[in-house]
Amino acid sequence: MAAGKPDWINVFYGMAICLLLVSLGAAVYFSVAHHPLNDHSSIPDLTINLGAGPVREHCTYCHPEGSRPSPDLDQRSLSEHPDISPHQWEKLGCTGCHLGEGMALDVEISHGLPGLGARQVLSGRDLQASCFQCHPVGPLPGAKKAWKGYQRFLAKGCNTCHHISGLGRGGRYGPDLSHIGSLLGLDLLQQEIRDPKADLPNSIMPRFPLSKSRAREIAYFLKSRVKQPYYATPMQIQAGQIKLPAISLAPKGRELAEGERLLFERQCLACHQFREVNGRIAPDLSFIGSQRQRSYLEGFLDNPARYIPGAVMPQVPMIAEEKTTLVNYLSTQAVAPENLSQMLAKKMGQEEPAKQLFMRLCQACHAAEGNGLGPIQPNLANFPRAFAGNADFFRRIQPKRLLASIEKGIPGTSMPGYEKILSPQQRQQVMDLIFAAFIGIGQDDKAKPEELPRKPVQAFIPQDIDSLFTDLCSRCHGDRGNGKGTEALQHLPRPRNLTNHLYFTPLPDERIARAIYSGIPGTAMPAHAEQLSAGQLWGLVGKIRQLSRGNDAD
Amino acid sequence: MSRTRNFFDHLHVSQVRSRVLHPLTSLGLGIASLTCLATLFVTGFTLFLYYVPDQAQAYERILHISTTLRFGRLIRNLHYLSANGLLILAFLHMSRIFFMGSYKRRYLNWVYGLTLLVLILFANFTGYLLPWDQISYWAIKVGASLAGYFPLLGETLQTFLLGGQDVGPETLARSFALHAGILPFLLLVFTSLHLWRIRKDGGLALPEAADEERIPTIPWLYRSEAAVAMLTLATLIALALLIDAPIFERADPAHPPNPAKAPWYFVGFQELVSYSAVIGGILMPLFWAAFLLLAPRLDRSRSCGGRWFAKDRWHWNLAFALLLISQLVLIYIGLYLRGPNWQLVLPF
Amino acid sequence: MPTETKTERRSFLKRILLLGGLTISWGGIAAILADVWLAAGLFSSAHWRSLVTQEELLSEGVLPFPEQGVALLVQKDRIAALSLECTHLGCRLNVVDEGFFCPCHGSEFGPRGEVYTGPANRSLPWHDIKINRGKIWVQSEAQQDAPIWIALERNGRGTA
Repeated sequence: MAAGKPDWINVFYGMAICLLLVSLGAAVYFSVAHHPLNDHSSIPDLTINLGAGPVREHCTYCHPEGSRPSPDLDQRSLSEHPDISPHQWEKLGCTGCHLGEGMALDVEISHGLPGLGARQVLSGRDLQASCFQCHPVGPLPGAKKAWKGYQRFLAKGCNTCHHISGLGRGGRYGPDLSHIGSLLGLDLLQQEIRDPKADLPNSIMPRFPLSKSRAREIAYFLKSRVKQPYYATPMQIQAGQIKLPAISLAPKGRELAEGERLLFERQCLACHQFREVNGRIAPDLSFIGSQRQRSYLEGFLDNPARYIPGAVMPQVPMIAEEKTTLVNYLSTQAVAPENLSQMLAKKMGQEEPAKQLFMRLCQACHAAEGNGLGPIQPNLANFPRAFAGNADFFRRIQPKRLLASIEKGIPGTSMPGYEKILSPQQRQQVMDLIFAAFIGIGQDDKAKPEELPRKPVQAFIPQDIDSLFTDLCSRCHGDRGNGKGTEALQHLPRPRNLTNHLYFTPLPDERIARAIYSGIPGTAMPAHAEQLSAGQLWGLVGKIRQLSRGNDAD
Repeated sequence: MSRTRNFFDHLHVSQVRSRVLHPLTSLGLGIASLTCLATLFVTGFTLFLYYVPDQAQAYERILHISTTLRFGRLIRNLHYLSANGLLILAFLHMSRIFFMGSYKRRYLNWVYGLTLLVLILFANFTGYLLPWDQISYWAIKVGASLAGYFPLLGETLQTFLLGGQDVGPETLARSFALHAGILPFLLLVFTSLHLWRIRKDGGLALPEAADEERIPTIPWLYRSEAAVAMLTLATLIALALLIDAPIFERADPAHPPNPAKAPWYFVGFQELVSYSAVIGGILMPLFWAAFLLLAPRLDRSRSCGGRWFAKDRWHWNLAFALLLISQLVLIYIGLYLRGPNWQLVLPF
Repeated sequence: MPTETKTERRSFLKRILLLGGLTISWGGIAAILADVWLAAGLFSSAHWRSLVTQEELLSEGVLPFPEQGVALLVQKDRIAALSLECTHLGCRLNVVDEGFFCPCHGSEFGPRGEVYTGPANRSLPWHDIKINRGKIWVQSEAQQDAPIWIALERNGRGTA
């Protein structure tokens, strides 16, 4: 080997060329071998403009004339596009109705990539999700379920929380649904309607009792709410000329009082129960006139969260006359009949009266098992007290307080007073039942409370108390005491909302101190007796007083 | 063998010392980076022919390129891979220079190199958005918000990159203008300067040795360079057949993926920001910049450049290695161990 | 001397292989690029379009569809589709008694699309045609030199 000739370079060089050749060959082979362009000299390229700008599609490459593809692309396919007259598919194109990605020539991508599924291909029965993109919402052959979905949307009162363009009145409580069809796929919509808390654990949307197929119908309607709809010009939309049709929600064939009609029309019964009609989301309104003051009802309709802080009920827009009619009706007609027990007995048969009363009045929140997990519990601002397995809690509570809760209700929560509905004997019967069936201890089986430390005379330093609150309380009760700390969702019963002034105002200082000092059995609230000095304990009580007064100051 | 002199001869000395050609001297990282850059220019021009930087069309155009054109997917994959390859190779190249101490008496070229690294990062970042799909949209959003942590300069940079406060149509137009306009031009300019400086500084930095054998550049240096280039190209093409450039659903500004992650090369900083915004957003980038800019100035070791892991430079090498490893670990954690809400998810 | 010739031959062979490899690889890359760069025209906006139902057809004559750029030549028992685009510069042709007339530059075509007078110098092409579910469908991408006649089935009167 001659000096100065690094021959390994030659080998290296030759090898590099060979490898480049091999990889190039492989690249050419794999790119060409299965490529659509091999068999066809050209690719069909439809450009269709339905009003939201031109859309290019290559769908007819695999679906000649809209047919299902045959394995051999050259063969005339046997399953042709169904007759959709008066439509003509060649004028509408494919993706306007079927969605998908028209520009992709790839089986997976063109049918919509997984994820939110906004462009997932629709076919078969699901296709009716597209009809109301072009047609005004209304009865339409072929889109029966989508139309039914719209009716359900109104019947379930969706628009009381969600804004949707075309319905003038309507809440700003939930996310805007005006363009939801452009963002989410059918399956995801259906899933979110059925189980709103699956994705967002802190969602306040109630879980409506809807079967899969009914949720699907609503999803069909929502899927047609797109960003650039074809049913109207942008100018018409801008000018607010597009309206969704109004539908009467009151049952037909029965004469209704004006107030009762409003209960239906204003979508109260989408959630609430009234006599036989039960929305299974919110408390019973059948006897609300005997439970709440007239002024309470009026104020509550204006701003539910002022009376029950944290309530998920939205403000329902209503003109003044309607409100007066409704409140009149509720306070005069929605009252308990004298013969409530007999009425119940007729319906429920031979059950003992106290049990009938519990099932009719308490069960929806406190549950038939007495564990507080009643059917409407997830939608309440405060957890209904659990009876079953909660003996420790009731050992601490004097009978007088328990009876008072039934009689007057608990302010700032959904617990109403039953003074006018139940006679003192009945109240005692219900109490006996609760103790016998769920709590499992005698009513006079009380624990002797630990001695609370004396309230010190000197003042506390507010900064110290604030930092103590941050250290001890804020993880659950939140920095501002609203019960929404970072760990709040891990606990059920949820941490108490400390800004609930209606609840805290009638509470004596000792009860707040007791809760901090000894904890609250049956909840996640631990005892802090060991950790706190007397000064700190009473300082925290003061802090809570200050938090719960905050609302008044605003 | 007589031969007309061509342009490339200006970039090479006529004879090189045999150590220059030794594979362990340079590892071929510079030429490999250069090949990636060339591949980027060629594939980039090809994509330029079909891409439209418009919110309504960008995504469909990418689908069109990667599914309808016969070699479209190959070209896009190549562009994607060589972009990331260039970033990695350029970084390795820089590490090589650092560990060899080759920046000595070549501070200007070191700075050119750093400028190139920044340009490459910028080019990569601006190109990331162009497919306008879910992941790219949110990655840019996160990446730009990282820049926002930097006091004073950060928000200006953010406004400049995004064309406003948020990712939108302006951002797309800007990203495209930067990515396909000024950045390639600057890359070209600084690469030329970088190469020219090597020639001016007398080829690769190597320790002095009096009587080392000399080898003619033609054909040996040319051949080895061509071999590295072709090997790089072959690897890129082979990888392009195996790895597809990612494409997800259309961008949806209303629904962030959980977790939304920055482009991988910024995930390390994102991970740091999740502990402390000051460290991840300000101190760490500043420290990197200061370290890389000042190390050659502060390095007072006696040994001349061009020797791997010179003994009297061990503390510099150690510092750099630690910095490198910490960044890699952070990127790994951020990229693979972070689930929804940036919670730690263990892979096993 | 033979050894020298041998080494010379071997080095020549090596050189050929080397150059060949280089040429093929760089040629391959160039070809890939050329293919992508030239691929923009591989799309057609043509597809099957339905024009008219069978019942609406004239019994005989030329039925123009200027919007689609197609004319249907209807005879008693068969039908064909002729392009309505002038082969000169692509204006829409008018149907006249003698055939077709281009209003832009005065080209004239006969009843079968043959050129009578310029500036057009090519005859009008024929298109693919079919009947599906009682509708006439035309695919204007296929440009044929000879007419494609398909049989018409007329209810009651006239048979194929």
